[in-house]
Amino acid sequence: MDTREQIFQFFVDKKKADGLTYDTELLKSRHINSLFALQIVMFVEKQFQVKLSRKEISVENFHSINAIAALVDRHLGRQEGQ
Amino acid sequence: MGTSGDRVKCVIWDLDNTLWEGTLSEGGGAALRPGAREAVLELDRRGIVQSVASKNDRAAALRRLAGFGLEDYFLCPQISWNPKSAGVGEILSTLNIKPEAAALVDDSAFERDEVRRAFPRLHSYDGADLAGMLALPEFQVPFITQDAANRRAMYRADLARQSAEQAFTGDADDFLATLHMKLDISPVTEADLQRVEELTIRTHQLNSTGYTYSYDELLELSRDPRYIFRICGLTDDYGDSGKVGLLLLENGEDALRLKLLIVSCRVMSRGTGSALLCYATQMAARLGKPLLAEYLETEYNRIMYITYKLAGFEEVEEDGDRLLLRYAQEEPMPFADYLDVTC
Repeated sequence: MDTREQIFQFFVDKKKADGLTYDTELLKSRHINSLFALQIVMFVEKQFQVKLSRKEISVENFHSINAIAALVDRHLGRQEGQ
Repeated sequence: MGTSGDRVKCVIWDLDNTLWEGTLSEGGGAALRPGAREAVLELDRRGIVQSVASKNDRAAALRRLAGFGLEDYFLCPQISWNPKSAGVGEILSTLNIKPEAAALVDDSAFERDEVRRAFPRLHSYDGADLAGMLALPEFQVPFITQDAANRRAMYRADLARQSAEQAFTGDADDFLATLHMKLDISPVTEADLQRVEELTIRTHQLNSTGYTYSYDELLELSRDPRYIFRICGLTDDYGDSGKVGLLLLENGEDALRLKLLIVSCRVMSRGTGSALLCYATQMAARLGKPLLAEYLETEYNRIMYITYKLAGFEEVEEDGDRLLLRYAQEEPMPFADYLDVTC
């Protein structure tokens, strides 16, 4: 599974995923409570072994599965490049 | 304002030669140790929850506890032949209590060491002098509030809710809808102040600044017209969770500043913090002012930062660990469908 498929699977496991696509507006389409927001961040950090900085935790980076996947891939790419 | 020490919120009892005399499997356990019953009742009165971690036959030990009329005082007792640290870990995660807020009372130095290796910050006591233990600073509570006296019943309701949640298959929000939660947001009055102080002292993970306030400081804030100070109570089909959240807004000339947002860890999965944030955005819209929020990073409260950021707040100022965030969305946030809010 690639990055976004793994993230998609997380949503399918945790949330009602009817009609969910990689571009669905996650933060607007459904009220995300503080616990679920935390779960997403924790999942991303654990699953992909990345530590997100404060700046990276933003609406832009979490507004869709595609956006989260891009954030993760940027992170992994940067680490590989070091 | 001050920092809170590591207050004990949960006492985990050993049974043999700690709660009762002798070893149950060797014919002991006929009588409680002197002062044990008084200690259990006093901890309960102070709102400190209790559990049991004991190497024993589970059914026999529970029967004996019931024989003493004490079985209701202990939440999720862990009685088995497994290592004690496993039982303690299970209690901490079930009750959502941090190791430094828990205490083990166990006569065996071996067991105390085994548990401390797994949880170095957990308090531990040999229980030889129970009255003396209860007089230690970490066991003191500033007031006995209504919420404290009901705490054991609330934890029991929480445990029932948790097992219902585990049995529920489907979306987390759909589960929340089955609870029929009612959230009541009201101005802080003098009668609430003891509970308010208790919330600021007991809550670390869901505290936006980590500030704690004294009773007198809180009294002043509740009377100061520049502040909008709210407390919220939560009830649902499983029972009354009591007063679980606090919101302090400073109504400044050019902005509404969120000074403090605190939510009891017991209700963190039920959308209370989000609801208080929604309330703040709605209040700001009504006043026609931007909403600013102070956040002070502590060891535990990253969840608060994540909540703010994913709710659409953006950083406007940064000074080390202290941040100023601004709600950057055009529309105020509506309350979630699964909450029936009165405010």
